[in-house]
Amino acid sequence: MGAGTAAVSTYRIPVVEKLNSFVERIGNLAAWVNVILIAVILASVFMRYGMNQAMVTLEELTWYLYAVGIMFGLSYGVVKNSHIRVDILHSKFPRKLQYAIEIFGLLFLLLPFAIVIFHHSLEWVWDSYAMNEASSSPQGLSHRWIIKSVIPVSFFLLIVAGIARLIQSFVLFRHDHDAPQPAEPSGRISLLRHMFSVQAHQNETSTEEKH
Amino acid sequence: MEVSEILVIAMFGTFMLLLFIGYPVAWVLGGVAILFTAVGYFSDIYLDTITGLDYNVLGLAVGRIYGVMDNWVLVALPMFIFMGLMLDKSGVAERMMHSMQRLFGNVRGGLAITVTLIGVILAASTGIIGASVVLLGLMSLPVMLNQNYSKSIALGTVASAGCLGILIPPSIMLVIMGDQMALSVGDLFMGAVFPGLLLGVLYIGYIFIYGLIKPNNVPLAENQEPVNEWSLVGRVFLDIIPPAILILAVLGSIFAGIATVTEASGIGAIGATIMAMMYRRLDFAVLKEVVINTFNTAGYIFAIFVGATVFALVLRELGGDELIEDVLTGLPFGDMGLILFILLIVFLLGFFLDWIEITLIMLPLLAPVVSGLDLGVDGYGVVDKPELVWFALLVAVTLQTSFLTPPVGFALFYLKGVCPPGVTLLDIYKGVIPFVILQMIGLALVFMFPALVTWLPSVAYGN
Amino acid sequence: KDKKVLLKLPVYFGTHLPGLGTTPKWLADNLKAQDSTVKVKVYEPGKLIPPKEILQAVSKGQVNAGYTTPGYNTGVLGNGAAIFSAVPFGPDFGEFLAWVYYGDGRKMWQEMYEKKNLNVHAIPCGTVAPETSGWFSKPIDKPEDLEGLRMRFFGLGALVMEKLGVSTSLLSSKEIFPALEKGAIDATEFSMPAIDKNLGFHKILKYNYFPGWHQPTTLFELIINGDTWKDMSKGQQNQIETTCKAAILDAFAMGESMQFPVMQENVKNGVENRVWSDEMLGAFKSKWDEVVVEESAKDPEFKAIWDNLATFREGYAIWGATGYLPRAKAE
Ligand code: NA
Ligand code: NA
Repeated sequence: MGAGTAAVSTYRIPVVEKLNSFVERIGNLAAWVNVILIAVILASVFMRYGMNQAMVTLEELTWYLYAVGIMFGLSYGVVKNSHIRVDILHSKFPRKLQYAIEIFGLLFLLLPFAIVIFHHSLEWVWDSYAMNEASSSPQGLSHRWIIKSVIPVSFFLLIVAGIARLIQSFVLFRHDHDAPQPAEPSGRISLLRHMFSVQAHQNETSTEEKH
Repeated sequence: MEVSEILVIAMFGTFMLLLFIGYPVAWVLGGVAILFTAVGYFSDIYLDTITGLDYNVLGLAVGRIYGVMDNWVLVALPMFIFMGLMLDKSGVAERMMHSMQRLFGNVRGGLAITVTLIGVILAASTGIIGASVVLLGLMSLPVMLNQNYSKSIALGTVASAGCLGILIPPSIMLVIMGDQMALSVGDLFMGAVFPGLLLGVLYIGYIFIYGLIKPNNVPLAENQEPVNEWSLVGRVFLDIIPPAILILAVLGSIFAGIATVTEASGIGAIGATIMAMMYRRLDFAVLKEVVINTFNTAGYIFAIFVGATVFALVLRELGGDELIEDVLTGLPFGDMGLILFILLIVFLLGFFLDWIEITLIMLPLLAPVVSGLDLGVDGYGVVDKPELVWFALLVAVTLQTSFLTPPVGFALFYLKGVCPPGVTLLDIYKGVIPFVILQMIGLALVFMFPALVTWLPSVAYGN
Repeated sequence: KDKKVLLKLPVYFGTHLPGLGTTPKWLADNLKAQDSTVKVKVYEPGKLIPPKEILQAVSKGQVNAGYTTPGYNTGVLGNGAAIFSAVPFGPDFGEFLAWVYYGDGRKMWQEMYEKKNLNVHAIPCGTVAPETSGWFSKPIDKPEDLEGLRMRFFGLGALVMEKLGVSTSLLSSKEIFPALEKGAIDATEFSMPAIDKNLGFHKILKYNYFPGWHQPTTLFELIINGDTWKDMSKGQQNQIETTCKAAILDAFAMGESMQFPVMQENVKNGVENRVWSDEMLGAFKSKWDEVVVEESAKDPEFKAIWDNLATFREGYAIWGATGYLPRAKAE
């Protein structure tokens, strides 16, 4: 949230910065799969209409890439605080309460969810590996465990991002009295900032990109 | 009331409660699912229920998340987002906007009508509400306010025109609905064309009549620049033709049978990129921004998918499906009455939730109920499950309205973000009220004349 | 008195599809009608879990039962599994059941799961009689007419089609119609006329070919988690086994009864029901023989299952070729 990002640069909680930048860097890299995805879709259209050849491999590659793009976005959204909130009430709460909600949410909602899925997915991927699972189409891709391991990896990143945020919220909760007043505490507005920063919020974008 | 019913209601209640303390929707969904797995587990032990829930059962959630990942239909989503952001960031959309404005700027109410028309064109090219609202707001609000338009009509026009994109194809909402309700996305896209245009026409009609009744609220510009008419028309053409080609490329390749929706979305993405290149607006910085924003936007939309699919799993294990089906089918309204009742619920939910949450949680629960009704909607022997296609579009129009209804309306928040100083959220609320009423009229028309939805797909796909 | 058992049963096909999807419902209803202490609750595809994930979820006990067919799980089980579902140019209903129940079929079927450490008890529990061979936009008179076609085709038969120059894809049932109407594919197979009707192929493709050489008979299975199975009483186990046998019989009779009215109706809608020429069937068969040789070389498990079935069929032919009147030929 706005509060978080603003305060991080003030407080410089090194652990939080390290963890966040770890998740963010991976995200910045993963983001480019959508460009590859466009290329694969074009290749598959070309093969079908140009060469009159449908390629099951390309069709499967299409959703492989899409899957990487969406799943790695989960943790990135936590670092960037872009996940959608219903903030009609939230934005009116005192900041101390907002931090408390954040801590509660992380401890009882996000982290349990992420840990349960992460834990279950490990065995699930292992089974796929052990059974040498392939596509159920004879012409499809083999080594299904590779794409399946996107779940544990992306949920691991989600746990890392969650822990970073937990530390940050806890520190801010403790030091609320001397934290700077955030410009826009609302998740929805910061979402807007992410999406349309160029036109909408020149100044705030620049602070956003500093940390 | 049985224990299992109480559990279902408690799960919904907890979800709503936690939603309103403002924690992100995706994690509330996922977290409540984990919580109620535990509740179900202990209830089996102590309250003699048979939910069968335990830690092991939660392993199903992984398979369900994988089901979101290998969903071929949803690949279109990040692609449409990419396309919309590329048009936006590269300034292609902005250029078109400027150009059209100069063309219609000197007709009474023309400025507002132009905004609506551009809204329709943006809607048919992108379908990203945030992009349309922000773009229309930035480009036209200062102009309209300088020209002494009343705040209400100016704000209402921008907010409503910006929302058409979620209905007029291509539309990510319809892609998701098609997936959730097992309907042809092609049918939904075609079915949405007339309702979408109908809303546009209603808006324009309203602005026109408003201009006749209250001319002072939509005054003409005092010193409109004289322009060489023909060169202006030429420029407008130059600026409008490329996006128009893109629209044709995307929709045309779907409808003319060259590509599936997924492929068309990829074509749209590359088309928008090429267009940005042609305008010499594409550099690495723009590309990177589009790429990162696409990633981030897809990330927070799919987070809700991921949370919702686990939530739905636990809700079903608790018996939520049957409860909702029993309650709805037990209502004494008759078939059409039931549809109206469902729409009312969706409309009311729309005050607080947005379309992603409603689509992902409510639609799968409602679809079986609706498909069991005898609605007598004519598919002309071509449209499969015409009553569901019609129902989906009724819900779609209702959901579009949710963007405009306070207190939680995405369009209103986006608009607030780009308003000139001195415009309050309350101004915006006031401005959108007439347009919400117009939406209701549009909805009523679609309800009374299902052919508005089913006729076009029947012609498009008939022999 | 037996302890009550609730089998939560996610299914591969929607229960609105006659024959293909209705059998698990039939099973649930009939167990209930017997006042069985085993209750079956059917979950439509994807309601609990995506169909492709059913097998592993049942093995882990995340859900205690599932309705599927080995041929849809070849990604995990290997191509040999497809033989238990349907065999191109394979046995018809009677011969297939003879191998499954009174040959080694059932035993090898269960062993397949055990070899993969999958903790499930598999019970044959449903069938569809011959599928159609597919829907085309033009007549296919000679093998060359297939070249360059883009067709939805599933399983081992797809390998045959590929050898004949068809490029196959594996769209799911709900993707087929949109892909056809958009021209993304030119042809498709899915199931029998009465089932295909629900998917609307007849609206677009006017040439429906028979017989379905790729799936002369298809069997489906009820899989129950191994621990759940062991915890049931002998009586309960017997009830399920017997009701599944009855389900196969019912599905067969139902399937046989409902195709011809739909075929007649298709003709009224401008569809031509066509029969493959001997030349075409010969082409499919020779390519299939190549596929068998290749798969056997690649996969010892496939070879073991195939050889067992082939040996049984050699013996059966002594009876099968002499004991029956020849079938009436279509005109
Ligand atoms: Na749109
Ligand atoms: Na709203």
